Amino acid sequence: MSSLVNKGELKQRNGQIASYLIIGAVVIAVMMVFGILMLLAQGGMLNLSAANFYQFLTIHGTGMIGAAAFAAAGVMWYFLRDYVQLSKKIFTWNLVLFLIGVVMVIIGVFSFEYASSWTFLYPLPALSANAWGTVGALLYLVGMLVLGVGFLLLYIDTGRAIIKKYGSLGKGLGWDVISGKKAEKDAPPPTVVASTMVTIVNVTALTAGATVLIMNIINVVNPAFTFDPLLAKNLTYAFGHIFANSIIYMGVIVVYEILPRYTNRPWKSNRIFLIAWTMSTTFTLLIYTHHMLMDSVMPKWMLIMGQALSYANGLPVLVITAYGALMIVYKSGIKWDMASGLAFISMFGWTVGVVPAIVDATIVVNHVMHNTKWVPGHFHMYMGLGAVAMLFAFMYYLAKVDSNLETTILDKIALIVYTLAIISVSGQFLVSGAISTPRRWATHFPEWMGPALFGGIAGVFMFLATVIFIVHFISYIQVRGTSTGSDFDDKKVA
Amino acid sequence: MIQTVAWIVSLIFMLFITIVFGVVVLKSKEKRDYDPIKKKWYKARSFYGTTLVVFFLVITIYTLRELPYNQPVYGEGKDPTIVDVEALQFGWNFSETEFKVGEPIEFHVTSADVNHGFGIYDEDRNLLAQTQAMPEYTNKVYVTFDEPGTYDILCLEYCGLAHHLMIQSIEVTE
Amino acid sequence: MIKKWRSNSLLSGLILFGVLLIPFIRQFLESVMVLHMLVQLPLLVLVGWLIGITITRNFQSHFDSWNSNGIPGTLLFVMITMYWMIPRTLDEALSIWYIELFKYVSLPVIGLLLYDSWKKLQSIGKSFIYLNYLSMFGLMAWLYIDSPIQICNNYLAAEQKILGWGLLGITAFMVLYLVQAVFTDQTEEAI
Ligand code: HEM
Ligand SMILES: [Cu+2]
Ligand SMILES: [Cu+2]
Repeated sequence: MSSLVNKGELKQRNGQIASYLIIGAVVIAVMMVFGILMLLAQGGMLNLSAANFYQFLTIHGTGMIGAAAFAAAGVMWYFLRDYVQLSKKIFTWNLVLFLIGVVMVIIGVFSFEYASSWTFLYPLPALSANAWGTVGALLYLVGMLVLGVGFLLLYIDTGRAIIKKYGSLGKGLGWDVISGKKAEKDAPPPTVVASTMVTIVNVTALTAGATVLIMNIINVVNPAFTFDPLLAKNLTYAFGHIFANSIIYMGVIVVYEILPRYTNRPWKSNRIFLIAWTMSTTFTLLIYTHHMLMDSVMPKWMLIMGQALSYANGLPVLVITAYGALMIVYKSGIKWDMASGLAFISMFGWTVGVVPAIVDATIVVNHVMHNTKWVPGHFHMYMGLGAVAMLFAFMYYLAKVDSNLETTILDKIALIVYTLAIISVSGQFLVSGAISTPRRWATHFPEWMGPALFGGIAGVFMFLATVIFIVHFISYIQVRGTSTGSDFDDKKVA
Repeated sequence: MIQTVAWIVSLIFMLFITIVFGVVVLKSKEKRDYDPIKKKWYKARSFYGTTLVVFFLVITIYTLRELPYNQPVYGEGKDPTIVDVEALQFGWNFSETEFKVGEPIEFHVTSADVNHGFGIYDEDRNLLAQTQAMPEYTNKVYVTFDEPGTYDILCLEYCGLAHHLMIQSIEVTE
Repeated sequence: MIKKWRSNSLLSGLILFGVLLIPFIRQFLESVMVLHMLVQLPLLVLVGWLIGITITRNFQSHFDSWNSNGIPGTLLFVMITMYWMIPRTLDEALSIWYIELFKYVSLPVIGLLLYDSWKKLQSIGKSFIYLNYLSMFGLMAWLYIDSPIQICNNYLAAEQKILGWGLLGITAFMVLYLVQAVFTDQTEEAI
């Protein structure tokens, strides 16, 4: 492959990937600042008005999910294009639409004081008790819609490309191998399997999301049109849960791709692997009902399924993906560097993050932990220590294979600081949840302040570490394409 | 208390996972052939996977025996007190706010405007029970207070800028 | 052979248009909401599509000059159909004569544009439009089924509900079609 691609084109293609990653990483870093400010306010250190706090909450949630998904899409695209023919134009369009959407959301939140949190639960966008007006709500909702359109185009393209090469999305998931029609050695590679999964779940999520967004827009423009709030909640969480979860399934591609190169051991799809991914696909689509365990008007079987399938959804990660990562590293003589280190840590983050998630998906536990800070506790762990660490792993990997830039001791310190800091931030949320602190509260009672304050300070370290990661990546962008034959050159760089 | 159990269980499993990852890192410097490792650990995985599935099944069945959605069985002649609760931006309307220890209570919770959350906190600010307060729907919570005191209802679903100010006290006496 | 078929399509388009104009048929279709939206409107689009088979061939360069990649035509199609999905427009078509006239003009025109655009559109565009309509129909179904108020003056709330279920049926069908399309083998076809 690499011989077919001339250097100039390669440089340009990686240029766009780099744009995705740098935009994503910078937005993430900025959003961390809002996170720190929120924690300091909850910890009683900082005086924030309620309006400001909830604006920060809204922008932090939206920005983190949006930016992480965006950068993860860049990671997926980088590796997937080696296997199927993707449209560069669509990749660019997604970038443009992303930027437009982000600008609209920012203006809506900060200039028009829109603060519904990123879940915009109907009918809150229209009924804000006069905190924000129609314009702010429309800017935010339409901005989200624009973002969604970009992502939808991207996944239609990946779906099209996978179908073209492999025949169908079922075959992209390797169903013909599972059924025994095709030999294991001809199974689609992990990158394709993961991309197929993400394509399926995200096209579903984005279609559901577009429906609720337009529904909210109609309701904001003309409140006489009302909708069923329970159905709205279902669609909103179906969209939010799936889309947020897809980030880690895109990010894990970097782990599948680089750990084999570092350890010189293959990581191939086999039947169990394929079954695990088909399970993940199905469960990711179905388990959003664990966000609605405290809606007793929901059909009971749906809620029981919500618990049972959430448990089951832990299995593919715990038994296949994490286990695979452990096996490939175990006694491999691996050369640890920033990329491989972050990739391994990210698998750790994903796995530990599963634990509090599963605990909270238990109905009797959810009864006293739903909407407490336990919830951000679990997802900061698997987002911050899992998904986002994957993004940083990729950034270091790209810098390594596409330039001759060296990492320094500072990067290593940043890695350690980042890891400890996000564990502290997540742990702080979990402790708060265990002592019943509600989530999304602008101010806390004194007995709830301690953990928040601790988390705010840890957040500062996490932010600093992130800045170091970004500085390294920016240095790489400046010397892009100067690789003089790195470790992986002979295998597959293009 | 459920929260404590949840916290300790999570901590144990998270620690266990940390140790496993740590051991693998420590052993990563050694270099061995992959095939024997694969063979050995695939076998171990079958065992581990099966154990995990069985474990999850047992826990699922165990934790689903009694669900907070189910109406408790009330004793003969002991009808529950039904309390209508309506949440609104930003306050609560209760049909009744004074209760007795041991009195079975059903809160029928709804909302006049947006989604709110209905969380019952005891005097030590532990969350005892909750449900969603939704427009157009009525969710039920079944509670019997064992201790006298002042309990607080806190809003547990983000509902606007005064979300954190939606607090209502109820009294439970002997 | 092809030519004959093509002129037949022009003829059948015009005949269909004529039939739809017959006062008795028109009144019948418009008397029931679900027939109005899910039969009359699509048939009017079909008129344009049929006529388009001939017209676009004869005036291809005209169409290509502004609709070379199919996107402008599709956008117009989306805008006009969105207009006709707004609950009030059906109502207005009954009571305001120029809205009715607009209906009889705009829908055949976009049918024609759709014919011209669809074959030019790339598969990504097609899928996007498809998903767009999927969520739109779903939303409209929800709105009509759920609406506690009577949205239209000329139609009863019960009729709205029937229309809603009709739209939901279409949505369900579209989902099923999509699922079978992406999960059955497409290797042979160029898509
Ligand atoms: C320095 C690092 C971070 C800090 C200090 C931080 C802090 C916070 C705080 C204080 C909240 C609100 C908690 C509450 O409900 O009371 C929050 C919510 C949230 N955070 Fe973070 N966070 C950090 C990193 C991240 C990362 C890396 C992600 C994901 C990629 C993330 C995603 C979210 C999301 C989705 C919410 C939910 C927003 C909502 O409730 O509407 N955060 N974070
Ligand atoms: Cu409230
Ligand atoms: Cu609230």
